[in-house]
Amino acid sequence: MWTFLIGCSVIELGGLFALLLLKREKAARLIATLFTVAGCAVVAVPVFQTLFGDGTAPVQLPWHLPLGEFHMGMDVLSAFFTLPVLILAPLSSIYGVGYLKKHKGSGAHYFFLNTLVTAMLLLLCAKNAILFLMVWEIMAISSFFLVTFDDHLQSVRAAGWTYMIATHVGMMALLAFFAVLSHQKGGFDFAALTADGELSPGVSSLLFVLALVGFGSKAGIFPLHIWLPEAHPAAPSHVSALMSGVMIKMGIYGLMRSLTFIGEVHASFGWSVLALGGLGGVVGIVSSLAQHDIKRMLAYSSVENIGIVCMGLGAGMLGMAFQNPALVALGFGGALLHVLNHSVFKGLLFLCAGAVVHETGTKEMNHLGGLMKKMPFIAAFFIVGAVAASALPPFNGFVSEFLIYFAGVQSAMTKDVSSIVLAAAVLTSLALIGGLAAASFTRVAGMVFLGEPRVPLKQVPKDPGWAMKMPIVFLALMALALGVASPLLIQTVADAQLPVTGADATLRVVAGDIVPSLNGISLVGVAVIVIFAIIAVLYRLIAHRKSVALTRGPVWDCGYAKPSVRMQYTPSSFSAPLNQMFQPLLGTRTALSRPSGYFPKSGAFETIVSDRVKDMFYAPLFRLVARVLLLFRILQHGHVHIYVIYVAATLITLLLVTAGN
Amino acid sequence: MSWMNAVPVLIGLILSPLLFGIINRVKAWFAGRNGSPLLQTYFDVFKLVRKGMVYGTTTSLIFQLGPALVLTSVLLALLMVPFGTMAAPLSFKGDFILLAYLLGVSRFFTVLSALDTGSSFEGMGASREVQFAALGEPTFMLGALLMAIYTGEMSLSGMVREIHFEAVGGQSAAVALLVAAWMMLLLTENSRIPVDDPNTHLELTMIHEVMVLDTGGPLLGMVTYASGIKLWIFSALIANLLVPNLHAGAVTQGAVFVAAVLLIAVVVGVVESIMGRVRMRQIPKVLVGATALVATGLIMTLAG
Repeated sequence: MWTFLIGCSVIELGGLFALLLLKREKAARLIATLFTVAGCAVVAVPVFQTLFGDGTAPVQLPWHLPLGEFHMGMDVLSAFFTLPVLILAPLSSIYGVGYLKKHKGSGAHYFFLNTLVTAMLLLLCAKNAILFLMVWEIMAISSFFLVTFDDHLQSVRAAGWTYMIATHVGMMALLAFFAVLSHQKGGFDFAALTADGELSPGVSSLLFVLALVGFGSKAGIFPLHIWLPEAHPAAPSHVSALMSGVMIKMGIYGLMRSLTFIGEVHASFGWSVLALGGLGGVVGIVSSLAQHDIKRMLAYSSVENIGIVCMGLGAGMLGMAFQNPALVALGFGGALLHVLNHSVFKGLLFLCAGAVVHETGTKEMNHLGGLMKKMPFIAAFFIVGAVAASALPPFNGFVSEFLIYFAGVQSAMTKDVSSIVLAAAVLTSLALIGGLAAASFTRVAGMVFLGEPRVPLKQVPKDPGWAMKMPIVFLALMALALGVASPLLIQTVADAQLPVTGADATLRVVAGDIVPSLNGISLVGVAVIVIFAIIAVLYRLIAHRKSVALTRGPVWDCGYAKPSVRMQYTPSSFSAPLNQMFQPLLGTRTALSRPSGYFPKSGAFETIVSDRVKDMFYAPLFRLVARVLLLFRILQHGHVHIYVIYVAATLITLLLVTAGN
Repeated sequence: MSWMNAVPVLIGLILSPLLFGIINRVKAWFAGRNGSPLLQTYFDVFKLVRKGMVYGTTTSLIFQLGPALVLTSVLLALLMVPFGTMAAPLSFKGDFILLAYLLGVSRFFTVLSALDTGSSFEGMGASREVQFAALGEPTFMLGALLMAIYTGEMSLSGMVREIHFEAVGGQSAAVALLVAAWMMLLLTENSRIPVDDPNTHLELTMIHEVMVLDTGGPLLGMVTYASGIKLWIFSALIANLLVPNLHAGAVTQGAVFVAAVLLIAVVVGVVESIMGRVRMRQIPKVLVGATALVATGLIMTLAG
């Protein structure tokens, strides 16, 4: 564990050096990145010891704060969740070196970036509730400053504000959660909190709801997701990658950890997580289809993926309630693997989208198009990410969704009514989400990179430099590797859930079932690549042979002699039928001014995309809160002498109360 | 896996273009025409492969590589389709999920190839394709779940092995619902009437055909052949539900199975001859209806 702490200190030290080098932007970026890479390499040692070896000893230090103690320890669950951090933190940092070249303020930015990475690592290993909450708050604050990097823009400040409120509503729930919990169990150390103790059903339900709100608001579980589509587009792309790929997973970690505190998992907990997951998955992907902003679209896709993770968690929790070890192992296993897989492909997509935004200066998809010809590298890798995000083989997204599908089918084998309902719910929502994800990602990839540019750009975009390319290549290879090497990973994933599910419910129980299936998937994955290569080469030889003509001509547009780029289908028109179908879930409004009269002048049409949950739930809620809080204005005048009277009155009351006792 | 297992795959590879021939012949018979030869699709593919290529000026490498990926994914999907009582060469628990997602790969790259041309017609077709496909997915998955619950098997080959009329017994109503639902899925996924009309001559009303408007020569050959295999896959899945285990030799059983697949092509031809197209806005209702049929079947398992 000391190695782990040394690694964390190295990363934080890099951040401090970057802060000191405030004026030397380039040096600050390089130093901070170097320290992050080195620190992560050091942290990887205890992580691998825990995952594949005999673990690492915890560290307990006395602390002068009341209630708290510096207690750090790493179990397999913590170790598994550090993997996304260890993958994405160095890569985002390296990417930032290229991305921030033309920006000012790298020093402070990297200070917060490294602080965020350190806080996340510490969070995963904190074994004391007070310590946990402290690093949780550091994580929230540092990511707030990362989101508001471009704080000269009003929209960015508003996004940061939304994030700040969302994260603190969650924090409030977490404070209540740990307060109630430690009151019940006595103590703040995780060992005390995990200890067996009968919780009454009412208390455990209350704790579950608090955990769901507290951790769910960080993870972006529907309907607490509304900060994601605000914060992710506002942040620089490597920060979006880190937040979407890693930070929101801290909420999932917290939720899984809190299950160990709550003790017995009631079936209703499982059903609610499953239902929120399925609903969130569908709403997330449907909303992503309606977006015009490429990064906002990716943020909604994160809501969808968190939904899929929650479906896995819910299935696993129901497995605990039904005492079906196979369901437990497959549900939690699928959720954990999807956490890792999503961080890889979403990191890849955000980094590619960042390059597009960086080069073209716009996030509006209706203005982009044809970037394949100008940025072939980014285009190719974005398409790889899009295939992975649509959960298509041979990439990694498929494997984890397969595990969750498999959990559903496996549970139906018991032929018991609730298991069949579970299976039908999981299969229907995953199938619908899968189909819609393919629609959403063909839309983005096709509209941004293929065809022709829809609006002329100010400068000719080109592929970025090595610092931005290298992380992208690495993540794409990782997505492929995780897709075809799943049989090797499955045991690690199975072990990682042990702290939550207990010793007897590992995937070993179902290894006989799942490993041959994963072998089959890997085989097909490799076969896709090999056969595709053979067919492509054969095609090249046959179609491009010398004896036949190879020509280029205009595409068919119903006989128009001069097809213009304005005539292309746009992202909005592509998704219009689906948006119309799911209109009740979306908050899309249209503004149309028709051309009218005998000599019509210009007309205009605009779709305004909003979020139904935000409009119909949060906006009225916060208006209400504001109205109630306004009542307290009577107390606040801005006159110092009246405040002094308040202080005096309070003191006198307190004195009287004490004297009375 | 023995070499015997490869025979059904070979039969599928050889016979799949014949299905289009049968459909067209049946339609011709209904219309009182002679119709094109049964082997017309073979002739078409051979002719196309020998031709030179014309690429659209807006297209990129995706347009050239897309059809290869489409063909690759349907070829691999074919490996998982059981052949009557004979197991598929590739069979494992949950293989139907991989099958559905491999077909998803083929759709993904058909759509990307279409968008690569920048033509608004092709964009329109792609938009419709992804919409209808997304609605079709739950039908397939729930259907497979229904079969898994009935047979207690989680692989397609296992399910098919366990279906015989004695075993299904009183549940044959649910299987009938499943056959109806999957038949609707077949018509949608293979762009047949009443969802799509492969012979229409107006780009505005096409779905699948409009996505390959600018695809010609060897590329179109690949796409045509791939769609033949896709039709074979769906027909074989339904035939598997219908053909009972005769407890006969492999050759008899195989022959009955092939006959059933070809018969499904005849049914498709009949449907195309006697029905008109559903209006584009009504298609989602057809698809949701198919899902509802399967869901009804599932509810029947709960009751039974």
